[in-house]
Amino acid sequence: MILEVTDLRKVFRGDFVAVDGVSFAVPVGGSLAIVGESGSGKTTCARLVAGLERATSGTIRLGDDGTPRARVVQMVFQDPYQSLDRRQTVAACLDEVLAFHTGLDRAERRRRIGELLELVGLDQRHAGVLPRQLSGGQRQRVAIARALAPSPRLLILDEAVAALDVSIQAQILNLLVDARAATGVGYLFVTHDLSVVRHVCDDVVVMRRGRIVESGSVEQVLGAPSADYTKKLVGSIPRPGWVPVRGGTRG
Amino acid sequence: MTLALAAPLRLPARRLAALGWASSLAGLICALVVLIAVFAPWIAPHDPNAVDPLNAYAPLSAAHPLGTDDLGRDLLSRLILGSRTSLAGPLVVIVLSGATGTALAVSAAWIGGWFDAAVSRVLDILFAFPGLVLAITVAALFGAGFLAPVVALSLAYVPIIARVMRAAALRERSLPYVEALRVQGFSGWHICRRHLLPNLAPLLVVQAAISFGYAMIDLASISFLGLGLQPPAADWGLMIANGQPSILAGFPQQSIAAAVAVVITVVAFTVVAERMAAR
Ligand SMILES: Nc1ncnc2c1ncn2[C@@H]1O[C@H](COP(=O)(O)OP(=O)(O)O)[C@@H](O)[C@H]1O
Ligand SMILES: [Mg+2]
Repeated sequence: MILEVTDLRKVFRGDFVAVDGVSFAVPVGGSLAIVGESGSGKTTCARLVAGLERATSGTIRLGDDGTPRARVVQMVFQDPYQSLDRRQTVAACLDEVLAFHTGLDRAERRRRIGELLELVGLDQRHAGVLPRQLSGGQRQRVAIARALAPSPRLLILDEAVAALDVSIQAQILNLLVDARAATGVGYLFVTHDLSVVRHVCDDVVVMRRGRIVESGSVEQVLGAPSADYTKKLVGSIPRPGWVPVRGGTRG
Repeated sequence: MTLALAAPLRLPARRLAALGWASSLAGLICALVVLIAVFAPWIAPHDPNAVDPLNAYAPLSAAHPLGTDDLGRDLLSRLILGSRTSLAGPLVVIVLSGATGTALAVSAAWIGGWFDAAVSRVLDILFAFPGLVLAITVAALFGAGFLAPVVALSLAYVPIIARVMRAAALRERSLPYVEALRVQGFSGWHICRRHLLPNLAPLLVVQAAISFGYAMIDLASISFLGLGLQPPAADWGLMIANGQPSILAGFPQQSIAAAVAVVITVVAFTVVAERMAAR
């Protein structure tokens, strides 16, 4: 397991229980979705795993202890417009991370930046530009490249496609499928939108009011939901007959 | 020249937008004044301190375009040389207060909690104390001259800069890219130095440019009161004061020329600053 979360609890301001005894795990190279309606505690779980919040109780075990957290787990945020420093070019943004996390020299870093850009479907033309010159989808590609730069073993994606147009969403989801195949990185894929889960994830946990109401493989949970809450969520997917095409297809 | 001039000179951005040519002119004047200050000794037609009693109160002429003062010193040369201390004072004030204010603001915004509360409280207290009064008190205590009023005024300007910068730093800090950097593993020091500060720099430049005009008026006022630079130094504030007896003698050029220099420079710097702020 690259991530093992046990009995995680987060209480805000003394009395509001946002996450209430949650346990889940992500195998090495696996892909787990956390789904649930807005306010169910998904983002709080993601932030706890990323180290942006401190758990009230419970444990989070990330890969082999001893490796700096940032080299094990990275995160892609929802808002592609504000999650990049507006003053930093794409190349500078990636270079900063590589210089910090790897022992690569300047020439090696430049080559690695090229690889990362290619991995997320960008190229050298995008290296020298500022975020404001990029579209939302392109920015999210840069954010994914930046998150992959330290070669993490787990990538947290918190509503990473929610702010994008549906056609762009599909591109980014394909990119995620390809990147996982290419790098063996695992995903913790947080979303309120079940329609994007099948394409990217193997397993899913369904959260409601800070608790897990159902968990299992994606086929099992979305194909034959057992909890009423999950049935309601699955019923609200706009394309119920949609069956995922596995593998590195582009569309 | 009265202290009342230190009242706010801010112009509404909307009105400024209509004045494209005015801001170009203001920028030109700023550049010109700075050039004059830098090359003052080579531009000045006469030695600004050469006393010539037989030639006192000389009228405007080709040799003395602004005439001479009560000691027969060439007024144009004194005005040109005076630009040096008159610009250096406010410059030191904005550099000192800008650096201190920004450092305080960013660390308060970043660290937060009790530290932010303590810094904000101290700034509030400093803010409540009029800068000019503080500078005059310090100059009276530690002696007149260049340094004491400039340092005191810098202290007085710290809360003005720090307040604006703290609000901006809090806004900047709450942007998602800062959390992204934290997840990347970067230290608070790295994030502040390499990301927050560069993003706040344009605002700091605008704040400094606005403060420059105020500082110039404040320092001229201190000189005027005799607590700044001392004679025979050539300084605009001092020249305004020293010109007073001459006004009674019917020769107001000295005070008028120096006052006009102060007003033009302050207005030019303020217009440029407001123009930058409006962008
Ligand atoms: N920093 C915080 N302080 C107080 N309450 C919070 C904080 N962050 C989240 N919450 C609350 O916790 C609950 C779960 O939020 P969140 O994890 O963002 O849900 P989701 O991502 O599933 O929409 C919400 O009711 C939210 O208001
Ligand atoms: Mg959320």
